[in-house]
Amino acid sequence: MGKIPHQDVPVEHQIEKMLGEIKPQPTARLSNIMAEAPWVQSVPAEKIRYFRSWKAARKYVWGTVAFILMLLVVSVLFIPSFRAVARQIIYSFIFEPSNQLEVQVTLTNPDDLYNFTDPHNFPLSVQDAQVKAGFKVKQVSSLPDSLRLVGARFDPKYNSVTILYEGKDNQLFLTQRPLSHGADVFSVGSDAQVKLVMIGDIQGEFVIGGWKAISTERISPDSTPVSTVNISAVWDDNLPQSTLRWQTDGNVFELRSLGEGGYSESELIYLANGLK
Amino acid sequence: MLAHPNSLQDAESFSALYARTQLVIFRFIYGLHGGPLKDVEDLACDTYLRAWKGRDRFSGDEQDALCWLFTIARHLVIDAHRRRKIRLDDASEQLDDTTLASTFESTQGSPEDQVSSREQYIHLWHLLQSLPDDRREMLVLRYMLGWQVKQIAQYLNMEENTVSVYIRRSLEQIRHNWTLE
Repeated sequence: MGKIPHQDVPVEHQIEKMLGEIKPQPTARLSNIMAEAPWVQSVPAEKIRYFRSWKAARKYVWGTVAFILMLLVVSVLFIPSFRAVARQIIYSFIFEPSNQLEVQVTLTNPDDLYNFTDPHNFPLSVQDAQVKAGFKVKQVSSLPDSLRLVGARFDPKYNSVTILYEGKDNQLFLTQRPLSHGADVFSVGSDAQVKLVMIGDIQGEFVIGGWKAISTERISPDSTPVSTVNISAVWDDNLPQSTLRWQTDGNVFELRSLGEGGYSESELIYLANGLK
Repeated sequence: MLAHPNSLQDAESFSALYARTQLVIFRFIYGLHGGPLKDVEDLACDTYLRAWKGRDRFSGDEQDALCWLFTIARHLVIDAHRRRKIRLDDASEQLDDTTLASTFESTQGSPEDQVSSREQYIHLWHLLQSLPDDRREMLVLRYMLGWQVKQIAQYLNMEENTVSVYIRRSLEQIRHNWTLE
């Protein structure tokens, strides 16, 4: 056993912290093996099923809040600089050191903050969004009967296109952008259960839950055009939100299911496999 | 969450349980077993397969199901230890694999600091694995899985104070052994 210099002996709370930071992740091998498990084989993979465990309607509200917060976080300036931004190309989830997130955001433009769950914010056709973005925009080809295409949105800041599909009690967002257009960030709580999954022969990541805002505080005067807001959020595995993220052909893709009646891991993978 | 007690009979419910617990179970096994990664993944598979075969005998809510999976996993780890005595020297190799890489990627500071920090994690892993099984399990539950002492006490059917004392003593033992070869 290697000898550690005495001066490096951590105190008790440092040991506790180090133990808490050990977050091993299984490889895709485990997912591949479990894909052949008897309970998986008993359920047709093609069948689109809903999360039946998502029953609390109030969670839909929290999910909406969390989703708006997430979009806010990726859409505005972080102060101080976010650790994860050091990675120029982010195609996987970044673990926060804890399940609590404290961010200070500066809104320089009213368009920085918008409600992503409002269909009115998706005014473009897919073709129009494609023209604005300048890249081929894929769509869900095997759309479940319960969903309808609402529209698309182009975000010039990230050169990304998001298509909104809506059902009776759930929404599905498909976001895509070229890898060459810099970094974006989607962090998750330290205890988030990120799962490596295979989408065909491409490895992706799947996570259930999202950030739930617990407080917001405007710290700049109301009269100023630039507003600064402190936001505190906690990671909640029970939010009715699931996200699948992967990278292929120089693009980052993200399928996000929101709301009661959202889609499970296998369903999102099924939909991801059918993008055209 | 499982909606009803004993609701693991059908494949869909069991699949949902797997989706919600697989990472926790994997980390639990990794902490108890110590690796290598392939063995841990195999044990995770065996845990769920055994649970699937024995689901008729299960009754309870999701927390009960998680504890049930822990119990199965713990027995499998003990069996695995009996079959093959783990050499502590393996621990540094386990930390070289990608499983724990994310832990070290998050380390800030100069390259020298990162190397030093990595050595400390490896050393800590050695010391964790050298603890008695029951103490190691408590530390895994408390810190790697983030359980509260109360939850651990309920799971292990022990007094909260007893669990707290064991955890404190285990941390002290790790500190005490830190400079020992």
